[in-house]
Amino acid sequence: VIDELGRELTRVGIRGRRRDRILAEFADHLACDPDANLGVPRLLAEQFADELATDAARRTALWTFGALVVTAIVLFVAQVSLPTIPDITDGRSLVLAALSALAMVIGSQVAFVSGTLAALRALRRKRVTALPAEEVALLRRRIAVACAAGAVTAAGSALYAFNVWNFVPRWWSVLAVASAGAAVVPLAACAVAFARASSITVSKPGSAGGLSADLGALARPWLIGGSAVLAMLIATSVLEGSLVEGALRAGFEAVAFSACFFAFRRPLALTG
Amino acid sequence: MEQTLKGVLDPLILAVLAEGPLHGYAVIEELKARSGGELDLPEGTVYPALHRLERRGLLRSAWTRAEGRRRRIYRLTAGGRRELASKAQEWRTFARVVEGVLP
Repeated sequence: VIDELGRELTRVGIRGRRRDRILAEFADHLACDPDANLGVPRLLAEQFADELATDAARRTALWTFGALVVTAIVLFVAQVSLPTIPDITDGRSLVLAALSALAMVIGSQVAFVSGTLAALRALRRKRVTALPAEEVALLRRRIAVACAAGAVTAAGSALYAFNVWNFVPRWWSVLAVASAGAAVVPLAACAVAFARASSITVSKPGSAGGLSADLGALARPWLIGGSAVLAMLIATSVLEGSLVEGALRAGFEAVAFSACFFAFRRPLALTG
Repeated sequence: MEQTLKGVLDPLILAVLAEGPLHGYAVIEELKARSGGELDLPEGTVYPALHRLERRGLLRSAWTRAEGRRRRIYRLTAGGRRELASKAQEWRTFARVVEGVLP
């Protein structure tokens, strides 16, 4: 029984000290009662794996959300401390300017959506002992996308600083690059936790559920997208003092939202 | 009966450990004794529950040695005592309601 349980634990991805502990406890149990009915090793290993993977996915989802908040604060402080905003044509190259802007605008929104949905799902399922394999996989995908998009945002901030290096105070360029580096640290920690948690295989059947499992009656992606576009239109029109500028940015937001929605609707379960 | 017992396994384990620290085998024996032999789950299923309760901070555990073997001893935490009191109250209310309705 112990040998078979050991093989099954390895199969489901439980290794190292945790595996040793489980086997030692079962060995002690059998030493107390050699005829004990311990159950089927495969089912026991799967139960351990399902519960461990569920806990790890939920915990990592919440850590990732916290890491994204830290990242957002660090990057925001760096951006708002820029004394004067250079013109888009002032940098080393327009391509770099466009790339950095795309990375910061789209990366931050994808990170926000993915990280928030991961955290929401983790909170809504906090009392569930073991989630179905599909739902754990969904949580893992949301965590991975959130971490990657957060890192892309930080890279965009560093790229922006590099592009306008000669057109802004030196202290700000250094601050922007250093803050982008610092912003990646909590995300990297989450990525490590994520990689460890993802090594466990989940067996429990069941569906992941769609966006309504996260947002309930608010699960209407086009309404959310429309609100974001409207908010962009109003905010930029007021801040720039130009309705044309507001409409241009709102148009960009609409295109970006639509593109991201179609790219991520299946992997992040943005419908249903 | 088995499914119902599975549903309340966590508070039953907390109740057994409220009396004092025990290792896995002793927890199972105590559960059997207190249930008059009715609790006859595959014994291995108690270990995932013990690990789960420890991850939730309701139990803590440490290795000891017994007869030359490593043995994991579990004890209730303060949080575990609060959880046990809450679950016991919940169960009494549930039982009272069901008894009031059943013939």
